[in-house]
Amino acid sequence: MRLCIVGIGGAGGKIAQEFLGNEDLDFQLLSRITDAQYISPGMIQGIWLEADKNDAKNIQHFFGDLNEGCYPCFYIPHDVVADGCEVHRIVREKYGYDVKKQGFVRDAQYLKAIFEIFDTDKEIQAIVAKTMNKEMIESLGGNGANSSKSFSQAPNPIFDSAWNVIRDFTTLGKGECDGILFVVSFGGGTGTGFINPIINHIRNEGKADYPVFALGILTEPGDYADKAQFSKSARRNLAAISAIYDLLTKGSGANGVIIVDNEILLERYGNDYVAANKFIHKMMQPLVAARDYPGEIPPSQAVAQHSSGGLSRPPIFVPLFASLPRSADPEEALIKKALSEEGKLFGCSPEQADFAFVFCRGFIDSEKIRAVLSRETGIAPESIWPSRKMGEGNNEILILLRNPYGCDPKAYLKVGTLENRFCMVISQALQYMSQQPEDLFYEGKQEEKGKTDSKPAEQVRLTELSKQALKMFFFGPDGSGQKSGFVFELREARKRLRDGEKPFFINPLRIFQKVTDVPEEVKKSKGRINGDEDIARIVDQRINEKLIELGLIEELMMG
Amino acid sequence: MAIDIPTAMNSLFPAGTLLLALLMIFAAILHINNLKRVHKLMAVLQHKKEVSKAIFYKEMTVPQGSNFTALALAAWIMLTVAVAYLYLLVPTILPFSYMDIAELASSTLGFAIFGLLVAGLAGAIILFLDKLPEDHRDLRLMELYSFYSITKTMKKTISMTVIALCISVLLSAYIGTIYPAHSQPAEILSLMLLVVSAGVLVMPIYKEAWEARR
Repeated sequence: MRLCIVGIGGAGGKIAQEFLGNEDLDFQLLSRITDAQYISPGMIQGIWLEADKNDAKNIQHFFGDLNEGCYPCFYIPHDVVADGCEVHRIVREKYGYDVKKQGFVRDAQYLKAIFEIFDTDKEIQAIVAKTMNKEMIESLGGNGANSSKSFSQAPNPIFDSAWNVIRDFTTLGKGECDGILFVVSFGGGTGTGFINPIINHIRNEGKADYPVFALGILTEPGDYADKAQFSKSARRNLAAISAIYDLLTKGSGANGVIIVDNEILLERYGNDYVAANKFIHKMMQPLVAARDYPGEIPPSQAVAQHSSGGLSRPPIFVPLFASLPRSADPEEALIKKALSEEGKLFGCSPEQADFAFVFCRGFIDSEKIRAVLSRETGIAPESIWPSRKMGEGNNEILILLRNPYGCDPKAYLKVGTLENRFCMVISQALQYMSQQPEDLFYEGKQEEKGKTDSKPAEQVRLTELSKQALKMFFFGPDGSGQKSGFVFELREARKRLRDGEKPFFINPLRIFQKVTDVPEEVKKSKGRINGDEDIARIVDQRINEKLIELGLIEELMMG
Repeated sequence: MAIDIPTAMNSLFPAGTLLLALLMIFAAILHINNLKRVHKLMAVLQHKKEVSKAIFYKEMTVPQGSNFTALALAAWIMLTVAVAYLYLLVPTILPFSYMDIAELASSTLGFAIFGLLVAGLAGAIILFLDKLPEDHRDLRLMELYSFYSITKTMKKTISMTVIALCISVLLSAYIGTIYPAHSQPAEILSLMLLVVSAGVLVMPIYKEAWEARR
C-alpha cells in the first residue's frame, strides 16, 4: 500500500507536510552530485491543494510551486481560470459565484455549487471546452494527453487541473502510488469545500475502483479555533457536517472516511496544533510506513475492497491508536490501550463496529490480535483484518473501526459516543441555519480569511438563479425545510442517531440538478409514465446518456 | 592511592584501541544477530517454517537517501584511512609501518598516496561486499543503514563523523611528520576521535539491539 497524500486547505497542508518530510539529508550541492531523490517515509508522495496563494507562496516554505518544478509542491487549482476570462465572467454573471474566491468562503456549499455548475450547465461546459483546454495545459506545463483524458466527463477546469496534478503521482498516471489519501479539516474553507467535488471528479472520470480514502479532522466545538480558522464555531460545524454529509451519501465516493476529533487532540496537546499534526502523522504510521512483513503487503485495492465491501455508502472509520515499548506478547496490552479512552480519536462504541482494520508495527501475532480484539469488542474474527509492519522503537497499533455506532437509542446521551458528537455538530449547524439564514446566501456579514486591512471584503452576490437553487437545497421546494432539503435531512439524521439507526446520512443532495432531455414519447404522454415499457425506455435513455458522458459510446450510435 | 599520570596516559592508548576493536567486533556480531533474530521472528509470527531471506531483506530495507548513503560511505572509508594512519604510519604501535616502505616514506606525496591507497582498498572491499548475493545483503556495508530506522538527527551526526575522522587523520599525519619524536596527546586525541566516530557509525546497530532486548 503506497498512498498519495493530498492535503487540501490550510490544515490539510500542514498535516500533509508531516507525511512528506524528506528522509535524506538536505545538501543541495551533494544532491547534484548524487542525483538524490526526495524520499518520504514509506515512499509516499503527495501534494498540497490550496486556495490561498499568499499563504502558499509567502507564508509557508515547505511546499514549492508545482509550476516551478518543485517537490514537495502546492497547486492552486483555481489559478487555471484566468482572472476575467470568459469562464470566470460567465459563471459570475449567471450564478454570482466567483470561481477565483473558492476557499475564502468558509462553507462546503460554495465549491459544491461551483462543481455542480460545471457539471450541469451546458452553456458553461461549451465555453470551457472552447476556451479553457489550451490554457489549462499551458498553466500546468503538462501534456495534452493527460488533460484531454479528463474531458470524458463534463469539462471542469478547476477539478480537471487538480486531478491532472494528483494523477501524476498515482499508478493511473506516471507515479507509483496505488491509492489516494485526502487529508482535510472538516470545518475550514478549502478542504471542506474541495474534498467532495474532487472525489466525485475522480469517480466520474471512470476511476470507480481506484482506492480513495479521506482523513478528516473534525473541527472542535467552542470558539478557540475562531482565530486560527477565521470562522465561528457554529459556522464551522455547518461546513463540517455539509462536507461529511456529502462524503457519506455518495455511494460511489470515497472508500472510507477516517475521522479524527480535533477536540480530543487539542485536549491532549493543550491547543498546540503543531503537536496535534505530528500526532496524526505518528498515528498513521502503521498504515503508511514501509517494512511490511514479507509477503504481507496489502495492496490499496484490497484495503479499499475490504473497506467499503458490502456497503452501499462510504463508511466512517474511527481510529484508535496505541503505542507501547517493545515487550513479549504485546497484543493484549496494545489492544486494551487502543480501546481505552486514551486510544480513541473519535467518540465511538467499538462493540457496534461491523469490521476492523488493525494496522500494526512491531513484532505482533495477527492471530492473537484477532482473538483479543474479537473478545474485547465482539467483532467476529473474520471481520478483523490485521496488517503488519516491522517496527522501529515502540510497538504501535492503529485500529480503524468501521461504523462503530448505532443499536443503542441512548447512546446519543452519553459523552464519548459518535452519536453524541454528531448530534452536537448537527444541532449547532441547524441552529446556525435557523438563526442566520441570510449567511447561507452570503448576504450576512462576510468573514474573509486573513482579512487584516480595513477594506470591506468583496461580498459574494448570488444571482436569483443561485439563490433559488440554494434555497431548494437547504429548505426543499416549499422553503420550509420540513419535508425535504438539507435542513430536513439533518433533522432526520439526528433522529436516526437518537434512535440508534445506521447509517444516519442517507439521501445525496445537489444544489444544481442535472437537466436531462426528456424522451419524445414521454413528452407526448405529458409526463405520465405508462407502464413497464415507458420505464424501460427511460432507463435505456439514462444508460445511454451515461455511456455517452463517459465516452464509451458515441451520440450517433444512439440515433 | 596516588594516580601515576604518565602510567595512566600510557595505558589510555591500549585501552582505547581495545575499546575500538571491541566496539567494531560487537557491532558486527550484533548486526548479524539483529537480522537473524528478526528473520526468525518473521517465521514464528507468520506461522511458517522459514521465510525466504531474499524476500525478508527486500521488505526490511528502506532507502535512507543518496546523500546520506554517500556521506556514510565516505565516513566508513575515512574510518579505515584514520585507522591506517594512526596504527600504520609510524612503527611505535605495530612492528610494521608505512615508514618501512622507503620510497613511499621519502616521497613528498607519501602520506597522500598512502591514504589514497587505503581508501581505494576500503572502497574496493565495500564494492566487493555490495556484489554479494541477495540473501547476503546483511553483509553489504552500503546497505547497512537501510536495515535500521535512523532519525534525521542521527543521520546528520553520522555524516559529521567525516569531519571528526579528517581531524583524526590530520593528527596522525602530524604524528607521522614529527616521527621519531612522539606526541602522546595527539595520539590520544586522534584515537578518541576515532573511537567516538566509530561509535556513532555503529550506533543504530546498538540502539536496535538495546530495544530488542525487551
